[in-house]
Amino acid sequence: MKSLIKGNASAPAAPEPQGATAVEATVAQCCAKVSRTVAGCHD
Amino acid sequence: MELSRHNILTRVHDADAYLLANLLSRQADVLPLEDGQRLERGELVHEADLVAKGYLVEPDEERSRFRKAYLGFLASRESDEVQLFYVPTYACNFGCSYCYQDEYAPPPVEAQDAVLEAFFAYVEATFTGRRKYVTLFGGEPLLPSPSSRHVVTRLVTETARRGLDLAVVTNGYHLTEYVPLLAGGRIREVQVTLDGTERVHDGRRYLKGGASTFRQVVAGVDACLAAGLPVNLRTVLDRDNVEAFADLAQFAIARGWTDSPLFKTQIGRNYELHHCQSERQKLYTRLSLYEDLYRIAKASPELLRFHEPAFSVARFLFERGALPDPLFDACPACKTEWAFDYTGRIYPCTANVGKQGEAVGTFYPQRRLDAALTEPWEDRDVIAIDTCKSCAVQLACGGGCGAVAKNRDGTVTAPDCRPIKELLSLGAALYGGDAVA
Repeated sequence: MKSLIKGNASAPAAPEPQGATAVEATVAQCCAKVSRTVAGCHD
Repeated sequence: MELSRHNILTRVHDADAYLLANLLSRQADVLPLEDGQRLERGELVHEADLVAKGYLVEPDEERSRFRKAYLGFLASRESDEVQLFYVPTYACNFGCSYCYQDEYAPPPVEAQDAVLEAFFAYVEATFTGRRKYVTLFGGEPLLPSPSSRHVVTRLVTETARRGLDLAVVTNGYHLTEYVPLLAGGRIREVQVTLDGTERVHDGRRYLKGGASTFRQVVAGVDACLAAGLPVNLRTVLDRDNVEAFADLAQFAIARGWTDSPLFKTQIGRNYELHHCQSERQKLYTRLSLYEDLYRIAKASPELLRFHEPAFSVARFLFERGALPDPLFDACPACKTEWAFDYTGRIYPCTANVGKQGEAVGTFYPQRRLDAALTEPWEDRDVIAIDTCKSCAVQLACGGGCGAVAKNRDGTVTAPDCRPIKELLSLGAALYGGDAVA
């Protein structure tokens, strides 16, 4: 197994913010948009 | 111990490797083909590693971590910025081949000073202490009429006076004329849509009557960047224009747009929202769009200088070496997004603003919010949606879009599933480089 996580401590934990909010995650995966300004988050 | 119910295991496209990711434990690993296949059959490999990284868990302990993460998500959302859309008109000078608002029959626009005053009063009263910004939306908000200019002037002035950012979503046709006015405000960004190079764009985004629009939109983008206004260039893709996406990238690169720190891009998918806006055979599923984007990016890597498709959380993972926070809810409607229009109505989001029967309240002439209508939106997340509860990709998908779910199933408490495993497979192949080779 080859980790893709930088500085991996290899320990599961309750998530701490890593500079990405849940909203940014939404953006990253559903709209390809960098901010929520835009219309079309429904896709 | 047992394998985590949040493990996402997918074979990397065109590679002898698997990607194993877990949004709850925030781990992601590449496995050789044989290990991935064994794990897929439920056989344990590298057991100590699986335990250390939260892929193999004590169920009770994982449930506890899930609860803690969920509470963190709710708390974080409470302090998140709210986006407030204002629609001054549903009228538009474009006759795009795929418009989803074309069947709306909105009442005529009257003078709206009183409505604007009520809008700002409502915002101040309802979202006191919240970080927030306003987005001007439509229809087309930047029309050349004196009444349009008056409304935009008031929004630019009133947002700046309150220390609020203003974003603008426009088709870009009259943008150049509006740039001096916008440059005097607190403009967060201007979203403009360009669907390809000149022939392609003009074949689908034309004025009512058919006249071309490409050159005016390009001039608007140039004018924004020259004036220091951030531009978010959106391209709406379907099978008719996807092959020209790389040409648009070349155009933007040659024009110097991609060198500007003020310039960013996004893609939209042409799909059925409220009704079929295009010939169905043109439309992509989410996956088929990304399959074609993968193919085009492989053939024309310079495309990635213009736009890097997200492929679920793959781009984020390979860019940052980290996974984003678990996504318990992908739908911002009635939580961190609200939409207001010139008729005084309040809607959950941009997908349904102006649609008959979708309003959840009014801010003018009376303030009234119907809790029975807002609560299903407010409550919607992967815990409220039964189908999501047992889904391994729930924390990457977040249950998708409430508006799409409601259109399909008649309720927002239904899933709008995203093909997370397939997208990660393609994204890992595109962005993973040596790590997945």
